[in-house]
Amino acid sequence: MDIEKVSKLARLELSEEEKEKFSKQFENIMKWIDELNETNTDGIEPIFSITGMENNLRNDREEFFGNRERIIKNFPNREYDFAKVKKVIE
Amino acid sequence: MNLEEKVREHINKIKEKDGKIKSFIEVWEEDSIKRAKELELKKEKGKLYGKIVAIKDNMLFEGKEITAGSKILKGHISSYTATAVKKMIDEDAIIIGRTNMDEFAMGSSNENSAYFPTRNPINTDYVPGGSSGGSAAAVAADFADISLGSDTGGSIRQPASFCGIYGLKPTYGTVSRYGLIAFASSLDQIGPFAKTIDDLKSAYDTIKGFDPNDSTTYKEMKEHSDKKLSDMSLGIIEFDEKGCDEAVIENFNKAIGELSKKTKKTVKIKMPHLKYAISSYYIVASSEASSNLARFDGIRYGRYEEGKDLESSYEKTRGKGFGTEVKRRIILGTYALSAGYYDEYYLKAQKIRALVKKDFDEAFKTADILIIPTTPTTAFKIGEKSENPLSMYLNDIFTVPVNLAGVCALSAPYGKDSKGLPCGVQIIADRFSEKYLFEAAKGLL
Repeated sequence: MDIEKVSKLARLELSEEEKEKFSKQFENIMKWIDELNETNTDGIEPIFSITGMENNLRNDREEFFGNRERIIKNFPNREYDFAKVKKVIE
Repeated sequence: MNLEEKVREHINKIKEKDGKIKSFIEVWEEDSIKRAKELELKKEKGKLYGKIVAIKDNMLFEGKEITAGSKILKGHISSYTATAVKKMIDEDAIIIGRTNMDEFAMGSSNENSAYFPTRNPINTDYVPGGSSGGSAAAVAADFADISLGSDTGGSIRQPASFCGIYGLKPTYGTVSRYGLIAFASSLDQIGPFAKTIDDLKSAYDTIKGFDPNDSTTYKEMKEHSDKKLSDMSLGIIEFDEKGCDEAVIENFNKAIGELSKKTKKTVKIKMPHLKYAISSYYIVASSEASSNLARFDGIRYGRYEEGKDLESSYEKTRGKGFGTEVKRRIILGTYALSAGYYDEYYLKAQKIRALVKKDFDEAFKTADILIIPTTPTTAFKIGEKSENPLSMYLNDIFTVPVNLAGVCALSAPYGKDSKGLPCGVQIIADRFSEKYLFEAAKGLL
């Protein structure tokens, strides 16, 4: 596993120490996970819904939540009623 | 004793003993006393009237802090109440506090809490199990009558077994996950802990049901008709005894003897794909977690660490906010879902999941209930496994297949080892057959 690449994909900063420790542990964990390949799964449909339910849709109607202020108060950085984010367009 | 006195007595017990056990992250003393006083005035009493209930720190309770055992959410206040918690309140339960847990429910010992480890009330040198270890310990120590936990791969049943109490993992889709901080959405299920089967059952009856806010809950639950234990057939799942404690096997065999006498017939059950369940589980659960935990980016919740640009702010926030086990699983899940590896890992794991489910479907053709130990060992010592994630993962070997198949299971306390640590028997039944579990658990009393 290219831990540098995967941590970038996951937007997760790892210390050098963590990278080293994880790489060793993943070697073991992946070896064990590779046991999966001992089983023949030709022709088996993967399970994506254990209940068998599909597309359980509700009516497309807005509902009043009632506690908007609390959600906004939880933003770490706020300006007026908006979450503040660093500039993404130059 | 009136309700206010009952609450005060429990609070005092917590103050006296929880300093050592550390099952709670926060106790809502004033609120619960106020609530008890209000309930005293009620004429019509709900199903859980006056029951003292603790909730895991991953269930929202409006106006209260919630952290999922993580530093990344420190200071986050719930903006609404989880459906399961609300249903408990509607039946007149008193919510006394939130309990410690492995960070984002990832762990089997409560040592992964970002705050402090919880200790097993039976013997404080040992772990209470996890990830709902705080909820299990709170009931075992008599700080609460009932507690709620969540079970993704055994996180209710394993700590119930380690702490010597009952724990129920309901059928997937019977209890709403609205207001539960998600770990692995296709496996997570909220369920109760209790010291008596009656309390366990009333808690389950209270929290189950369709919720328009959770589209994975069943609109109709085709519950099986009542069946007496003497009319049930008992399936004994064959498993590898290697790696199991002697006392676990001994007590398990005693439980088989007890239930065999009381059921109609006993059959041996072979489940050929059981041994692959745990690797399939770690791929599915970690993949879903890597996606679910993407939302913790420092913009809407909790902790924020400033970087030179947006992307590095995400990376820093998450790198500093998440603990080791959470990072390990996010990396594993991201890898399993990344281009070029998806078929090899995620898809393969979902196919194995189909085979595990088929094993259960086959088993339930000949048996009404199945039994297997809840865990291969009794509680381990604090620190014993924390540096070896693989050995920690393998502790869930008997519990994860149930989550993969979406069926229901209960851990019942049964016997102890030579150190006085409890053993647990896991009873498993098909979807919507929780009643069978309660019946069978009574047969072990």
